Amino acid sequence: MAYLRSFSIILVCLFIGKAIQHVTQLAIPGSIIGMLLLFVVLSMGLIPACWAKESCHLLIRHMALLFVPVGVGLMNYLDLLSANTLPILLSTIGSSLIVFLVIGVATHYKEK
Amino acid sequence: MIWLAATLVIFYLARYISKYIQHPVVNPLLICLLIIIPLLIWLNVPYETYFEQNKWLNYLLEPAVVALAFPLYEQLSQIRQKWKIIFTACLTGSVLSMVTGAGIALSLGADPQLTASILPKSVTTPIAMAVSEQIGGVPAIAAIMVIIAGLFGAVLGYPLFRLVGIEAPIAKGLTMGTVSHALGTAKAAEENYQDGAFSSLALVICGVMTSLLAPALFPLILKIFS
Repeated sequence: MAYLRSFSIILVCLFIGKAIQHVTQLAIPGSIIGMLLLFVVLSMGLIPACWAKESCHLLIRHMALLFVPVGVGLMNYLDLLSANTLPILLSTIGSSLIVFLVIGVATHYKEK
Repeated sequence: MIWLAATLVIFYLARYISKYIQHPVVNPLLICLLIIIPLLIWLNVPYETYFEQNKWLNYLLEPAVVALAFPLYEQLSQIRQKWKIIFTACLTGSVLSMVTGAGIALSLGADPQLTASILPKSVTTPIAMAVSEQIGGVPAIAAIMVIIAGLFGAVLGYPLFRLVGIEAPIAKGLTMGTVSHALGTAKAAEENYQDGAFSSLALVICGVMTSLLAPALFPLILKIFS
C-alpha cells in the first residue's frame, strides 16, 4: 500500500509536469517540472513526507538499472564514437578538470 | 522477454560484483553495457529488438527523475543555512561545465549533434538524456559522456582534493556533485557522510539548473565556438 500511494503521488507530479510542459512549450523536460512540483509540495508540507518516501527510495536505489536500455543504444553509434574519440575524451575530461578545480578551490576559500 | 531477463540478471550480477571489488571503475552500468552490446552484435540482434523488450525499464526513468525531489527535500535545512554558497557554486559549476565541455568539443571539430550530447555530461543520467534530446543531441551518447564525467570524479576526485589541499566537507561535496553527479556522490558518501550530503545536494540543484539553462546557452555556445 505504501508503494502504491507513493508511486501514485510521483505519477501525478509527473503527469502535471508534462501537462505544464505541453501547454507552456517550455524547453525544460516535463519530468524536471514534476520533480520541482514534488519538492515544493513536500517543502510546504502539503503532503507528509512519509507518503512519498517508499517509491522515491526504491526508484533512486535502482536508478542505474533504468539507464541500461538507452545506454545499449550506443551500439548504433559506435562509428560516430570511434571517429570522434579525441574530441570526446578531451572535452569531457578537460572540462571536468577545469570545473573541479575552480569550484573546489573557490568553495574551499569561501568556507575558511 | 529474454532480453529483459538478460538485462536484469547481468545488471544485478554486476552490482553484486561491484560490492566486492571496491573500485570506481567497476561500475555496474558500465559492466552491463560492456557485456550486452558485444553480445547483441555477436548474436546479430538489432538494438530495436532489444529495446522493445526492455521498454518498461525505460518508462520508469521519468518517475525516477521526479523521485529525486525526495533527497532534495531531506536537505532542506542545509539549503536554508548555506544557500548562498550552494547556489553560487552550483550555478557557476553548471554554466562553466556546459561552456567548457561544449566549447572544447566544438573547437576540436565535433558537430552540433555530438556537442549537444556532450554538453550535459556533468548532471545525472536521466536529466542529461532529457536535456540532450531537447537541444538536438543523442540520449545514448549523452549517457556515455555522463559516465566518463562521473568516473573522472569517482577515480581522481579524492587524490585531487589531497593534492590541492581541499578539506572542508562543503567544498568537497559540492565539487563532487557538480562535476560527477551520482557517481561522484556515491564516492563522496563512502568517504564522509557530510561530503555525501553536500554532493547529493549539488547533484540535484545542478541538474535543475542545467536543464533550465541549456536550451538558452547551447545556441549561444554554438555561435561563439563555430
